[in-house]
Amino acid sequence: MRELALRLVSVVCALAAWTALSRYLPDDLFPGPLAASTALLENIANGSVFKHLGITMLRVAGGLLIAMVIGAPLGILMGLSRLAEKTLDIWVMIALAVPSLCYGLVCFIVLGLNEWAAVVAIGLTGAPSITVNIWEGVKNIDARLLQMAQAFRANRWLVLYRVVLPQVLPYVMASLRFGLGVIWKIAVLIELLGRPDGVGFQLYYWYQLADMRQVLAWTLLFTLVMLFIELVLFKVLERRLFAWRPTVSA
Amino acid sequence: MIRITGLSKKFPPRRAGGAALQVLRDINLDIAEGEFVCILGASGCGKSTLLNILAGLDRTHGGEVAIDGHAAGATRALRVGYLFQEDRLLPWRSAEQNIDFALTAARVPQGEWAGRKDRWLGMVGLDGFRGYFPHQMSGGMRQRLALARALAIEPQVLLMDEPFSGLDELTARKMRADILRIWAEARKTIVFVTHNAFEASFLADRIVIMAEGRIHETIAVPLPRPRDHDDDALFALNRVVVRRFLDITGGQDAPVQPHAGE
Repeated sequence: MRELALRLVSVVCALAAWTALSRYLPDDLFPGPLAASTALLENIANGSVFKHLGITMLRVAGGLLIAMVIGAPLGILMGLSRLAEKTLDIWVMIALAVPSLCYGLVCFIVLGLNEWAAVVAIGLTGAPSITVNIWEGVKNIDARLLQMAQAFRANRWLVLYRVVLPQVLPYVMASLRFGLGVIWKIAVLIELLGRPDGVGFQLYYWYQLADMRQVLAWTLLFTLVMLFIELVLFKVLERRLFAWRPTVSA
Repeated sequence: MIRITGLSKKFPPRRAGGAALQVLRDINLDIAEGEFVCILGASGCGKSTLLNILAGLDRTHGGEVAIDGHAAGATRALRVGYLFQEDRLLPWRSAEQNIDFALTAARVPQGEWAGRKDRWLGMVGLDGFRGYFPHQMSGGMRQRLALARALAIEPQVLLMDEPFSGLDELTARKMRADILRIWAEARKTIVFVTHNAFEASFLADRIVIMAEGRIHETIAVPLPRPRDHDDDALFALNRVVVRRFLDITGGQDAPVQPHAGE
């Protein structure tokens, strides 16, 4: 309860600061929260939000899928084999270090200015952070519990879904969370680079028209959706998955 | 019954060119059906390795280990219960579900589950805690649950690796009394590893003294049952066991003496 109150207070303060700042700056340069939300409501009313947000969400989902498909097996492999770990860890670091813009540019040049290139670029950018998290999780599997399962003659499947998976799941969730955070941002950038729709395209479009009211409106929308996913979807999911933990609230 | 003949175990060298580590040398031991045997030794004497071999977890050894005529670990028909030093419960499963795990693993038919859980959870006094998760239970309760889990598969042999050494002395005392009561009712063969001479004297039919991978001596425990923690004969026996142990090891790595006031 206290935490919630603290959060509310901080949000109210931030909104107040935003309003105060907008008072001192010209309206077309830095509109206040009221102007931005009105613009957002207009966009919702005329339907453009759903079209562009929808397509961005699809790209994010596709990118996340590709990132998991590439990142998770590599992470598992690196957690299980020392050889794989020693061979691949430098490449994971390099992949993390490459700016996301480069993945986008390379994909658009190699694959063409199409939907595929966009989703692949998003996936490639997100993959290394997923690998890192899952690698860590697999490395931390408790060998003593595996030995216990073996002593009771558990078969591979039982060991996998009752002993291994529950231990790796928190790391998979962390990797999803982390991956999503990276992927949201890269998705917008990729759309700005080479797509004719989506939230990133809208941001760039209004930026070129120097319409700050709309730029802030789309930023606001984007942030709200992300907060919803982070605070509502993930929280609910984690509460369900990790109910066995002593304390899940953090 | 358990028959161990000429058992030896070597661990490969850590580094290329290093010396292999000989943990068990020519172990010969017969354990009768329903017998309670304590293996007494200091840490590093190979007693945990011996248990792992009996459990079938380690099958790369020399010599032969047979339980009821089957090589250890060779067949599913052989059920071995294992109680570890730590409880090794699955933290994400409730008390009852932890037992379900063992029953699934041991392929006990579903129709028998309810009866077995009633029996063994009841016997360790946890019938009212079925829905509790391990983190909601005390250390003693968790170890009792681990015991119920080991018993629920109704093993021919129960292996215990210093199961009470992580508990406070009062809880451990109670657990020792419980284990004797359960053993008296269920009549399992128990191989119990410990570094505590007093614990061995209190529990065992026979104490096997191990040092440096060898069995040096077996001492039959003549004390009548039920036994009393405060029995003078128990203390006398404990002194004999500790003395023998010190003679064998030359005073190195002495097992735990009984605490003052015990």
